[in-house]
Amino acid sequence: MKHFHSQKRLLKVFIQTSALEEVAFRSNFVAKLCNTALSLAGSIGAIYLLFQAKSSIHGWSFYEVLILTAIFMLLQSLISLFLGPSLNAISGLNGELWTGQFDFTLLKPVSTQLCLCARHWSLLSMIDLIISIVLLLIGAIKAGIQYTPTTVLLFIYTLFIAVLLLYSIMLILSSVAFWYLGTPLLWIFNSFMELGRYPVNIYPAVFRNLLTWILPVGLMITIPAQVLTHNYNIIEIIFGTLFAITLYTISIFFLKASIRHYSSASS
Amino acid sequence: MNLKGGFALMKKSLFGFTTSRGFFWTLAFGWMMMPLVYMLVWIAAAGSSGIGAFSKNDFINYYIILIVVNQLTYPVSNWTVGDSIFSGDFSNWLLRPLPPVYEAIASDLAVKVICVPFAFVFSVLLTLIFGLTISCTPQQILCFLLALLLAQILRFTVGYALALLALKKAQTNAILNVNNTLVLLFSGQLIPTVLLPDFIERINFFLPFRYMLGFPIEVLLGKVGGSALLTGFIVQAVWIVLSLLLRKIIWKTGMKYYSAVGA
Repeated sequence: MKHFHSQKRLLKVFIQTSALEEVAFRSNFVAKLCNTALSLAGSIGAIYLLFQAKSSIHGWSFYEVLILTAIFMLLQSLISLFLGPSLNAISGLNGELWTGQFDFTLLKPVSTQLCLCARHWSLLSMIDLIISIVLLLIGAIKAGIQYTPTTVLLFIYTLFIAVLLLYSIMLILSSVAFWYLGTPLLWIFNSFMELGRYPVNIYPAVFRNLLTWILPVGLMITIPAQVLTHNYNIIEIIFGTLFAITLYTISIFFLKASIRHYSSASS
Repeated sequence: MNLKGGFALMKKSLFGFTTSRGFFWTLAFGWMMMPLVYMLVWIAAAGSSGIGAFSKNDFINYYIILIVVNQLTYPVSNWTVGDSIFSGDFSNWLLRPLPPVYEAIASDLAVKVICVPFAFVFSVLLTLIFGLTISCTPQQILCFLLALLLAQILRFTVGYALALLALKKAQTNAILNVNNTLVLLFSGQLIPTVLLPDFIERINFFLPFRYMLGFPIEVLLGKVGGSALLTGFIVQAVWIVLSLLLRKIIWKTGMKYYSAVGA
């Protein structure tokens, strides 16, 4: 219990210091708000234009795609809230692995995994998080679907699987930096995430298969949306669960092996 | 004009960047994703009947060309200029017997030399998947090249002027992000600008964004002709002049505030 409390306190300190860093540039805050509003208008505008031209695309209606966009934004904002900035500060360009700062992180008498994943927070992403939840609710109400407790529970479950998949993938990709420095794998993955903005099953077969079975962007974003719109395949959910559990196990082992392999920065 | 110095800077940037080309290819890969997403989406939406003046094949042609043109016009130097002002490195640029803009142009050209072949290969791969059906007259190609050159200059000068805001504000990344989002929305990446709703298209005609990216592609595909072509070139030129003036004003006021590091 004591351990848990110290972790909670540590997390609070991490968030506080990150907040202080951000408050220093106030004009950035206004511009960031502008940017959020613009990109929101852009995403919704694009969907609106799409459905001006066609009333349904491969069985997806306007509000159903809106639900999917909201899930995409939700996962994106979770990444940019803490996971992305923290992992980037370790394995990214000029990160702790480059500079050797990671020595000090390892020496700290606290959980290294916590320092890896939650050291840096970008609190402005909370705005995106809230907007995505509001958007999800709007889409879910307007889509005119009957919701049963099973649907809601299954939705929360698939969302949990999505977060687990995302966490495991990002952890594995940043662990690679321990072995081979200078591969911005996280960036490449972020680029692929963009493809999840729209339902993967409207894409041509090559991209659809790539995004479901190799890069599980489809599993993460399309399936929760399909659960809400009663259009899912239970086999895919079971597969997703197994996939997530396997990846999570691999990521934890790989991270431990990678940390053991760490030999500080050298020329 | 110190062309020899500029050329030396360009060579320096090119050699420096070539050693980390993997990094730049990763960046370039990221820039291609948005066009790819919207290409796939519009192909799905167009189906066999097409949308407005665009058939399915038009969308394929448009976006395959857009991926290369976007790479050709994207000014990476915005970010480096902003960052160098923030970190104080900008002082080194100021001390050289060359205007600081040379450094920005040199790094921009170097990134283009490294990334354009990558974008080209990516486009060829897409061509193999979807097929490219394009036929254009020599006149269209000449007009395209001119429009492309003006688009590059315009996108660069707007970005450069905004990056110089860092002289006063220290941090401009967020403003550059806003600029990037506006370009994404209105330049023809999200949707070819002719397909925007009438009301927005009419406003967009006078905004600079279409002329940074979409306009040259429309010219190459033969979607603009006659008087529309001429007006397009005029609007491009006017925006270039305006952005140069903006740069001058920001430079003059900014220089009074610039305090090397830690404003």
